[in-house]
Amino acid sequence: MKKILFLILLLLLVTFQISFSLPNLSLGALILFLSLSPTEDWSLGVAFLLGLFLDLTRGDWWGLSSLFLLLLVLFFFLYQRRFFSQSLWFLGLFTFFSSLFYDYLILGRLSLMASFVLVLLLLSVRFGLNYFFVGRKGLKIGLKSK
Amino acid sequence: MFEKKNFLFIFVFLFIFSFFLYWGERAGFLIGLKGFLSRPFVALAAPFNTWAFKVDGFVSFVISWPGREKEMLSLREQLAGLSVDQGELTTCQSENQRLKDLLSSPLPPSWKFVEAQVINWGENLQISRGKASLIEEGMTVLFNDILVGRVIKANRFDSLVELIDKRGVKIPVGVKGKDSSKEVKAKGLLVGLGKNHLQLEKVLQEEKLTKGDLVFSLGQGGVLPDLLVGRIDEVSNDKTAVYQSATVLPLVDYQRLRQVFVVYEE
Repeated sequence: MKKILFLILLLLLVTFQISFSLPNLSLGALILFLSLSPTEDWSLGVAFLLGLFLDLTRGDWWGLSSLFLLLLVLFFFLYQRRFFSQSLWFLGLFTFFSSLFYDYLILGRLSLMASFVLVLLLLSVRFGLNYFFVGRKGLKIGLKSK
Repeated sequence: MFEKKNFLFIFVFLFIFSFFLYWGERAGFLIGLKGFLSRPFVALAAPFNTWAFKVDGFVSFVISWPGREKEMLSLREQLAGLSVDQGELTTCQSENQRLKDLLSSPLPPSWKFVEAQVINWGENLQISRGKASLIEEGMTVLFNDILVGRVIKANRFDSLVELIDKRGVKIPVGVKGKDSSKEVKAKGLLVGLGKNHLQLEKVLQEEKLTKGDLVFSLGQGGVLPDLLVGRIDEVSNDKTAVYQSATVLPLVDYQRLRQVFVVYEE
């Protein structure tokens, strides 16, 4: 049920993002999901579907975003072995460069400011989730690297 | 839980599938399917699009506000500068035109001209040139080739010009036909009545005056000769009087002059 709700949320974010000139919210949601997700297999499916949604709504070449997002998931799990995936630095830098590359490769523009805003947004949400939900249940997710 | 083999298998499968979709659309045989599938997304995005424009416009307005204000200030400065430039250009153009008119008018080449701005109006004009510009009392003042008056007082940097329409001013004048090339057909005395009113007097009855005849200076009474003064408007028909008289219309409005030329003969 949670997975379906998350997919609906992604769908809404995609639609919202296409309508407004905003930072890449769906990409941010995916990275947030990756940092919270306990199972990587499911992350690949989310990345694939999200890519399809994005290409369908924007009218880009179908599958192009999926290719990028699948690679993104792969890199995320490769690097989380070296850097703790829930650390603020890792999340921030990963989000910034992902957004930058995505916009440059798929949309053909270099959006530094939008990427920076996305990083701030994602870290705020991550911090908020940690503080209001996880922290209160006593299951605090560390924001410091090990 | 996480299994590396399983993860890689799913990754490769989805990667190949995505690549297939990408290649399929580029090849052209997935376009129909994509169009069909994108319909619900387009329908879902439609209500967002309506107010997205408004929000986007507002956000971009807020974001660009400081720069816009700076740009507006800069544009205002430029506008002010351009207004000044335009004013100067207009002045130069009118000055050039008057100089051209003056040069094209049939005035003797021995005459020298000093351009002066009118800085005060009244019975006498105050002009922006004085003794420092070689202006002396008694010099004739023109607008193009039209007589305006005479310098009655020359200060160092400004002068007073007595207008020919000033009450009590009298100048000997001649009358020529409308084409102004014929000989003088009448002589008389031009009397100023004030406020742009001129009267031609002391014209002998046997001399014929016609409406529209041009009045010229004769070169007597300290005024240079052959300068246009005005045009005859109405001739009095009192045959019993010794002299006939006529009202003369000035060719310029003396109270609207902005620039004049002071003339002297070498």
